[in-house]
Amino acid sequence: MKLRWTRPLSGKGKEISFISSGREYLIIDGPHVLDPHSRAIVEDELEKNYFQPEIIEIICTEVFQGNRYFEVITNKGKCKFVIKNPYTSIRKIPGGGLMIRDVVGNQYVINSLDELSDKSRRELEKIM
Amino acid sequence: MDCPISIPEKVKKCILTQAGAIVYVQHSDLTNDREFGVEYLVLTDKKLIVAGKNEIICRYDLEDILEVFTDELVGSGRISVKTKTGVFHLVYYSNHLVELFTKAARLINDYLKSHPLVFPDNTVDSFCKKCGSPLPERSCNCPRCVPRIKILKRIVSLTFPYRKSLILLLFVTAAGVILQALPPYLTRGIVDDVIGNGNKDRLIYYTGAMIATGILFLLTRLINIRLSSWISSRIVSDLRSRLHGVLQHLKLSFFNRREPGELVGRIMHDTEELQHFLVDGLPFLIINSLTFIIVGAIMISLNWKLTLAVILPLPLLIFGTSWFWKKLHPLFLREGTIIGHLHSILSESIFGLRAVKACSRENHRIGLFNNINEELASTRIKTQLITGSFNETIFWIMSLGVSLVWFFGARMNGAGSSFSLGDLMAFVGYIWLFYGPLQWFSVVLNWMTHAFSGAERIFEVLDTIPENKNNDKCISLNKIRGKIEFRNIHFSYERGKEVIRGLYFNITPGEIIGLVGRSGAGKSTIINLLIRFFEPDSGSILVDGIPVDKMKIEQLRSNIGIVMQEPFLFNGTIAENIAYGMENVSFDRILQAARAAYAHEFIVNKPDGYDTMVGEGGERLSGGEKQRIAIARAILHDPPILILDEATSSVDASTEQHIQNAISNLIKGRTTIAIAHRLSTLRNADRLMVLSEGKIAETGTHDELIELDGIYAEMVRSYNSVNALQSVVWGG
Repeated sequence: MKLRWTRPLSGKGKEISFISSGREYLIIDGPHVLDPHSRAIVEDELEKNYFQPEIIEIICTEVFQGNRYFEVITNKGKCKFVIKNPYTSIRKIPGGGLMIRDVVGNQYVINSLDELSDKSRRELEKIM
Repeated sequence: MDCPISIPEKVKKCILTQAGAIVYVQHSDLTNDREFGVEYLVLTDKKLIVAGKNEIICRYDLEDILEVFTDELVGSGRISVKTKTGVFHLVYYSNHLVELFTKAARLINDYLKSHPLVFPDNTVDSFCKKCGSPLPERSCNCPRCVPRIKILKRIVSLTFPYRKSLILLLFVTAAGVILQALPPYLTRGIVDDVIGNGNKDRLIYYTGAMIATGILFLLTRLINIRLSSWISSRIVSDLRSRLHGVLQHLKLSFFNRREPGELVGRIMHDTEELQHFLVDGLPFLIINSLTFIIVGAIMISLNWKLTLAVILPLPLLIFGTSWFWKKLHPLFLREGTIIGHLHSILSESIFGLRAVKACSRENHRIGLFNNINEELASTRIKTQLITGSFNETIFWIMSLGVSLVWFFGARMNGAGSSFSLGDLMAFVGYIWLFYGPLQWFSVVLNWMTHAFSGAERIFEVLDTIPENKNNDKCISLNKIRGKIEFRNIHFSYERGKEVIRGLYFNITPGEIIGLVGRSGAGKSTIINLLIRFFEPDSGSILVDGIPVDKMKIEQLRSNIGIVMQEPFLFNGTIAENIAYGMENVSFDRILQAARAAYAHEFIVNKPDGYDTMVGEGGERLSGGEKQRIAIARAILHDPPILILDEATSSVDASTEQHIQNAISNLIKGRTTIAIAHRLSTLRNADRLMVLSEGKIAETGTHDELIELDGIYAEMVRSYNSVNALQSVVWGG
């Protein structure tokens, strides 16, 4: 059984879908409807299901041949990734943040642009 | 074949002493805490082990393992083991390694079942081995490791077919530069010889020479403009044709990842930018480089000390140029991206006009377009602002040089000095010729940056690996009978996300097969693999006992007729569309095919009959009409293998009857694979194959599968209930 947020960008923390072999068996309004024990299990499983490192600092960005290269520090460690088209790969998320999806489908989150350093924002501006 | 990945010596020793001989290793890029780091999944002849950099984390006896499987998570993946005591998660990995872990799971399961091992190709990497940059495409060359000079060389290499004209252009250009350098020299003669020494009789020669130089210079410029326009137009025309040609031969996976508007932008906008550079930028670059060298040499011969004063501001110029380059390049790229996006929105707005109007979303589309259009305008303003500031700054730096020449030159020119007033006047004339090219360089830089960005995008398309069409060992068959075999086919559109998982089936010549399954079960993928629109990740597909990748692709495709849900017609007449892909077809055969496809009547009812223009994509015909033309096309081609992909799903009941009749004529004596949502249309198939999760779950006739009471029976029940509901709603 897989657990998925039904609205991972616009409604994280709300509805959760329980899926197996491509079929939904259950949908709940959110973790709050569960008892504390079940809730802890569900939240742990959801945490494992979504790997979305949060970008803390953008070390550098570069545009080359239309590809946008990032070198960043996330809450899960340092990493490099590349995106092709900022229009399709970068999406705004509630709270003034961004979700960036690289060419292989890895996801990176900036929770709030305001919390980024000036240097990180400048690097981001270079490729946006 | 040996296992291709090594592990740290310390862990290796530990494994060898505790867990037997190593068979296979796959490293991950995430730790079990899901942080970036390395862990190793190690298969030995006795155990399956997860190891860190220094120690073994967990181990499972092979005899306890029932199955190893992967889970597709969001932004990552996980490989787990199912044992007699439960399911345990082994290793997490990012999407970079999804493909390799999917293959690792398959390999471990094969080992557990004592099947022969096929080690995955670990040379396919997501990062450049040289610079460590992430790669934008699977197993592509790292674009960042291609030197910039190579791009310039490639642009220049485009001119090679026109080298004779190019040599003439260079000769004319050089002549023009020399002619341009003569007037200040003649000015020097007038000042020193005519005015200074009073040789008034020589004035006519000097002024005559000036006028003649001017006329000759004008001539060289006219020839120059004509030649450079011709050469650049030819080059860009060649490039556009080449790009279009390359696009025709690229794998379909290339188009899956790109929007059509973006590609149209590349073919039209980027080649225009390149033309702009080749027409205006490159000739200026050549002319001004020559001017810079020739005038510099003359100035040194006149007075080397004063030349030093002219050169003084140059470091400022070079530094400023490099600074502005860095600022401008991303802006030009952004412009290209925005234009591509604007094209996409525009084509969506036009092609989806009916949906837009039906949902009253005109204002939303207008807003969307205006936003991007506005973004383009503000980017252009920014670009112009930076370019303008750059030009003005450069001009100011140059004025500094002129002031320095007047200051030092006037002091040098005095009684007894060899530096005459004529020399100073000539020097002042030359200084603008010397600085002129520098000013031009800033303009050329603008074009060059645009052209380089466009060229990079163009070369990216040109360098994309085309579909593997034919090789020397291709087998040519005289006639295909229509036997089809799928042997253990695995396939994924995206790395590691398998949609076909170990598919086996045989179809005998002339057999009619119905492919059934829920949306996304992999029905259309099977067709895509058979006609080699995509290549399987592993396994083999055989037609008449020959692997399809060993057959000439044109021969394979010409033996397979396809009637799609929404057939694509090209902008031409109905007759041309029926005969599409065939040459010298008599009208009589076209007529027969149209009759057999139940299309003849509607065609002759049109004012222009078979000469009716169908419009772009067949827009002037109804869905049923387009469908019957596609069937007529298939009948005319007479292929031994026929694919009907949802051929009747987009038409009403009465049209469906016409099409069913046409299809009955079409499938006689051919191996037919039919996909249909309307299960009633598949009842007459010899055999139905029910696909589920990328495998064949059930197979048999309609009656056999109903009796089995499995997936098919459930689909029929739900189909019948929906149909009954529709009958109530529509009064059918």
